Amino acid sequence: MPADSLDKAVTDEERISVATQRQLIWWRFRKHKLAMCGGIVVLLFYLVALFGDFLSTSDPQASDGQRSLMPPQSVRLFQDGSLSPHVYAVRGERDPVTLQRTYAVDPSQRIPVRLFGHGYEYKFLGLFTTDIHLIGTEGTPAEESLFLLGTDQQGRDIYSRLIHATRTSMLIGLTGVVLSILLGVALGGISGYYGGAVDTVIQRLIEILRSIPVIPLWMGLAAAMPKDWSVTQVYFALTVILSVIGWTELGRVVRGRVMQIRSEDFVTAAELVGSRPRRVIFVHMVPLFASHIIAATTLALPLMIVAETSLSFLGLGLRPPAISWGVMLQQAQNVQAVALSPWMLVPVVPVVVVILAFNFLGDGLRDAADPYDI
Amino acid sequence: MRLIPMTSSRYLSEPDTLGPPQDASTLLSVRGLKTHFFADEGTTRAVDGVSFDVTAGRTLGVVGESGCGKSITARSLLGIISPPGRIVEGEILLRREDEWVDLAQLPTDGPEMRQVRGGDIGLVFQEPMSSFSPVHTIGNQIVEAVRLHCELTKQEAEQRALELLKMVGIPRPEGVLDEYSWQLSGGLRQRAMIAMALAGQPRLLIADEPTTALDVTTQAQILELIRQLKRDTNMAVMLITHDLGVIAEMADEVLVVYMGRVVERGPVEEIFTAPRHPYTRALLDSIPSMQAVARKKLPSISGSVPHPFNRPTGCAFHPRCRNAVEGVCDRTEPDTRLLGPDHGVTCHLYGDEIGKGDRIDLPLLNPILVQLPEVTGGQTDSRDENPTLLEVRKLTKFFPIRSGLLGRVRAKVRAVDEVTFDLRQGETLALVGESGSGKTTTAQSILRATDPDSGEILFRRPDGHLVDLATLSRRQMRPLRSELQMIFQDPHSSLNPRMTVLDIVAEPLRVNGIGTREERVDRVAELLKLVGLRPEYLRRFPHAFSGGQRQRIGIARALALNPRLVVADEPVSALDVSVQAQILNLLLELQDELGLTYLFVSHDLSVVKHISDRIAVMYVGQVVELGTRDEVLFTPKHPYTSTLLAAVPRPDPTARQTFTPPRGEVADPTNPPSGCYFHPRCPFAVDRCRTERPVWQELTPTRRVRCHRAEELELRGIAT
Amino acid sequence: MLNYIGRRLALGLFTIWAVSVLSFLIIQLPQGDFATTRLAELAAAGNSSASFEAERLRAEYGLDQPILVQYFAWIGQVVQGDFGMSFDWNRPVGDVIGDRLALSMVVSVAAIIFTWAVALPIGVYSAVRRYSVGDYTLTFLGFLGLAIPNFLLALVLMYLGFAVFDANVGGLFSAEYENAPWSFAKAWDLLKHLVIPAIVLGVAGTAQLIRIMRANLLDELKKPYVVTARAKGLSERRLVAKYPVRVALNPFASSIGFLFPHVVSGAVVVSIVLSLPTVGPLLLRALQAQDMYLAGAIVLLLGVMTVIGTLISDLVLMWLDPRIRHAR
Repeated sequence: MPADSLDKAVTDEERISVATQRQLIWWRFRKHKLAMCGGIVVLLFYLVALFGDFLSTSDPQASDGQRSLMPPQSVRLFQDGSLSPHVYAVRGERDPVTLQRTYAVDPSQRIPVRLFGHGYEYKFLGLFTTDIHLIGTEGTPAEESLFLLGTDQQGRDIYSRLIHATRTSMLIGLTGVVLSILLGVALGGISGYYGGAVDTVIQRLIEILRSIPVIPLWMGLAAAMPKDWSVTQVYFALTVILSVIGWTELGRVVRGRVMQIRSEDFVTAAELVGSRPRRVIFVHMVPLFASHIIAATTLALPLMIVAETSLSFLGLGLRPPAISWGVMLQQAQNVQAVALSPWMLVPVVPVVVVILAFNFLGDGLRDAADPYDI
Repeated sequence: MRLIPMTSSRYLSEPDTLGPPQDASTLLSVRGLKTHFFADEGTTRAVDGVSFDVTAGRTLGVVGESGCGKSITARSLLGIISPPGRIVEGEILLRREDEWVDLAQLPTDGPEMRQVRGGDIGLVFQEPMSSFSPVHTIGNQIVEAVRLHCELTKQEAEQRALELLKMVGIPRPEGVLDEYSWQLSGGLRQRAMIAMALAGQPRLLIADEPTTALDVTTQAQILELIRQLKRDTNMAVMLITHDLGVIAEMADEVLVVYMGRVVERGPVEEIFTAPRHPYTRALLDSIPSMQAVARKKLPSISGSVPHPFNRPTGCAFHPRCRNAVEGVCDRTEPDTRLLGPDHGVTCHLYGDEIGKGDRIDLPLLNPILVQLPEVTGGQTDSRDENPTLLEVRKLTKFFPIRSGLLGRVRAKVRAVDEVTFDLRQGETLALVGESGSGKTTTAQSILRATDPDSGEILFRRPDGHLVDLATLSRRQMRPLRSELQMIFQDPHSSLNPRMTVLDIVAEPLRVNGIGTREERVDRVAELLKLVGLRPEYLRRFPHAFSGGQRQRIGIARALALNPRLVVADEPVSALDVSVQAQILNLLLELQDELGLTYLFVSHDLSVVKHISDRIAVMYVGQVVELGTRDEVLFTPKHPYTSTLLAAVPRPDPTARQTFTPPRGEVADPTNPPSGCYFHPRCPFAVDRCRTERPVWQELTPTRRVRCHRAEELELRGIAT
Repeated sequence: MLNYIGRRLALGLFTIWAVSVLSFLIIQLPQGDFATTRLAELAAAGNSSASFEAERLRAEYGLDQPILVQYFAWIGQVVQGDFGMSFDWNRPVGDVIGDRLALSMVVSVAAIIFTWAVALPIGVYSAVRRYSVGDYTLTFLGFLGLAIPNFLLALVLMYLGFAVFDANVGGLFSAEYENAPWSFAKAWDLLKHLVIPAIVLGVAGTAQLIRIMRANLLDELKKPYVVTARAKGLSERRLVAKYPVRVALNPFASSIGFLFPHVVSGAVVVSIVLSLPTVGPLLLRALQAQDMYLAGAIVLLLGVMTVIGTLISDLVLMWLDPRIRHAR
């Protein structure tokens, strides 16, 4: 018997030989430093979304005209050489001439800042009620004394709002993408698997949707939402609008991949041994493009986030009392206002960071996902 | 005995013995060339100490399996190795009037090196499709090549380009100048490519697998062209190929390479009649020759070429070598010894440590050759009485070509055009043909991997009655699936990369509800043993296997359900010669052991001759000739069969081709010629052939031909 | 070739039709028709004949007809250039839009030109000098460009302009030209003001195109025809410019097909932030005021402009790529 089987070189590589595709992808992904960083940042953002209330200091809705547009505060860590974090109290006055509020620190009044302090009440992960926050003040409530990133027009704490906005924006991306995946995988899959007339129709549909300028359309559709809808309804309608238009890219990826896999001999082989179409699709084909879908999803998420942010920014997306990055930036539309209180632009930072992270992650995943290139 | 400095260590230790080559006709002399690739994963020593001379007016054949560094050697000569590869050592001496220039020392993008490229050395390679830019005309690219090396005006250069196209035998060259490469056929494209390589009137033409992507009849034309150009211009040719037949047809001297080193070099007759290196010997043994006894087990080389990262110690060939001596071959690298005036071999068998003298009759050292058992079931007579298993009647399949917004049918590819044949139980019928002959579509239609348009596919069930597979729905087909199975061409595409070997081979059992999980594991282990793989490989994934091993897994899967008919679609064409022999042996063994019936699809006549009982020759969707193996091969009745047989290069330099290759190329199946599809290329065509379509006539009970002149023509078969 | 053009034209017309349906949907979606809105306005103004007036309006605009009839009536008028009345401005929609649509296109085209002019050389450089420091830097900058939504970039630039340079970087004209008739000086003024919007709008597309160009060129550089050209003795610089770059130019040119809708889209939001006199701010105001005929008309016109732009790019591609030109 020919001894092809006695190939010694392979036995050294037993570990790789029995590695599943998932392991191979992971090994390849691990080498991609930027993608790993991106993944960690994305994970952190979702952790912030999950533990939003715990991380906030103040009730994000607590407003007070007396504290309008306060600048960010600095936390002093030491007092007389020993560690004792505190902030100074801030006193506001209205300038009689310009009618603008100005703030002055009062070094005589120290407000201690501590970890795991008490603040407003919330339900921790929806499980139990607590008032413990990561950072809290003693004596005066945080709403009146702690402004890590300043306050907005209505005197609400920007830091706490930013934390809550992260939750909304990250989630809206997620739900929008889930809807897009369903549409994209279903339509793209059908298009690629059956081909022929169905494929032609779906392809034309994708081409048309891709050649329409989407933002005016979003704006129009979003503006057409009844004014009396609740935050949840608007939120849901918005995700539907985003995904109805956003599925096309995913649909294209899935179609291409399905067509490619469909022409592989092992699919024919599966059919020839008597596998039913359902088994061929779900056992032989789906696992092969699952990784590509994950990569495409990762790249689609930031688009969703930007879409929501821009619509809300224009006042056509989420509306107060909902808090999202876009809603927060809405107050920054006026240049004069921004020039006087530049901390209003703070939400730009998480938007850019999270998009960057998603792109790095998605790129790395896409590079690692190809099972044939090993 | 003088030592030829072939390995670099020797070269480095005795630099004084080397001067420029003394022979006045030597054009290029390569000494100890090393080209390595430096990647993160490790260094690949693609070319690792190669030395050879190229002589004007002669053809140097370079032969080896894939990944042996043949192409990298060629590219090193031109300094066009792309990063992370570079020449790390060695000399490439090119004769310039009276002085020698070391190309390895020239800056790779300097004007001197650029003058060498195209000016001194022309390059032609495998992919004629992608070797031309798709957005520039052929004329533009050839004129550019002309003007890079000759001081000519644009008009003069165009005139020269026209002459070049005429020289390589392109019909209506004026038109071709303004065309794009994708508007030409494969053969014309390769001719245009050669014209471009000749633009600077090079003294050396490097042809890197120039015919591998072409049909065998087109290959014969291109090889003839190269031969003729060499004769006319007295240039040197360096022909790189994996095909020993092509080497035998073309080469004057031969270089056998293995893992980046030359293992043997010598005059072509000596290499083919008295090979000295065990690798050369094994390569020659493992090709199924047109002259050898059919169905005899081929001596094969065990294993496959290892990945360059896992280069074996000592002699790189020792793990696969039947003559390896433990303690020597796996420890030290062999030196090169000169066995004749021009015959060198790099092997310990001829070295001081185990060599008994300077000449060893290698075939006697190879025990396998004398003990080869003949495969028993080769008697075709007994099979004649077997009942038919499959009767194909007027099978037809046209593929529509759609275009436009609404996808209207613009034309039809006549893939299978009224194909009729029978297949008896236990025999092997080969479907032979060139590209576009419809052989694969025929095979796929029989398995209902594609649905035929019309015709009958009558398959005999075990209880004796016939079912027409063509009329069954996919659902009705399912219970029959276990009786008909397929072996695929591409071992990479045929196995799901996400499944273990166990899952892949057990899949047929699983979907048909056969056995418990434990029973299936046992059955898979048994199947793996049957195809020569170790059962321990069960949990491995396909990426852990070489091409040959993957093909074995595919065969195990096909056998899992105990099929009665196995359709093998080019099962060995993607494999290296040495591995190809292993798989052919396996298929023959399995047939004897399990009583299988094969429908064997192939473009390779020598493989077909080796494995088949009967042969059906296809041309543009039609079977043009059908008969027993010996009838078809020795006394062909269709001119196309005869042409095809003549075009196959023989691995025998003493019996070189003396025939004129057929005109033109395989007809376009969307728009076949009138009358007999072969008439435009047929040397015997008469008026009737141009107008009237020949019928599928029966000459004898075993013999059918589709030719008007079948009875009157005396055609040449293969010589015995 | 004719087949290709015909196919593209048919698809373009089909897209325009789809946009018209969507625009009509936008007009129709808000609850109540504009007669109701008008009714409320009139009633608030104390007009006693309000409900009679509303009925008259409904009949005049055919609002009591089935929706399909209304669609065809509307599209029929649109084809004749009549987009209906803007209630908010109380003038015909066509007058309100005026030359804002043209300015929208000027901004978009300027952004595309910027994108190409920057992306092409950088993409080529990145591919040819792969893994060099320059490549890494440019790739990272590209990622950054991709990650900053253009309206946020506009916002930040506006802030910087205001805070650091004390200058308004918004608008398309200096104050003295705003209402002046067209002249050479005014055009020059426009050109100067175009720089910031073009950069803001073009950054994301540039980043994307650099990556496309780099990836395509890297693919092309591996192709056998490059080796062929090298083996003829062509110098590396001429070779890269003549062959792979030329081939990679085709997907690059076709990128306008997906780039253009994005730029037109983005221009709407950016115009609002930079307060450019384009249709962007107009659309926002129309939507806020539920001035649906105006909003619908703007969405439709932007869609049509995009389709035309895409069509032009397809023709350019056809002219560039002989494989399309010679296809039967």
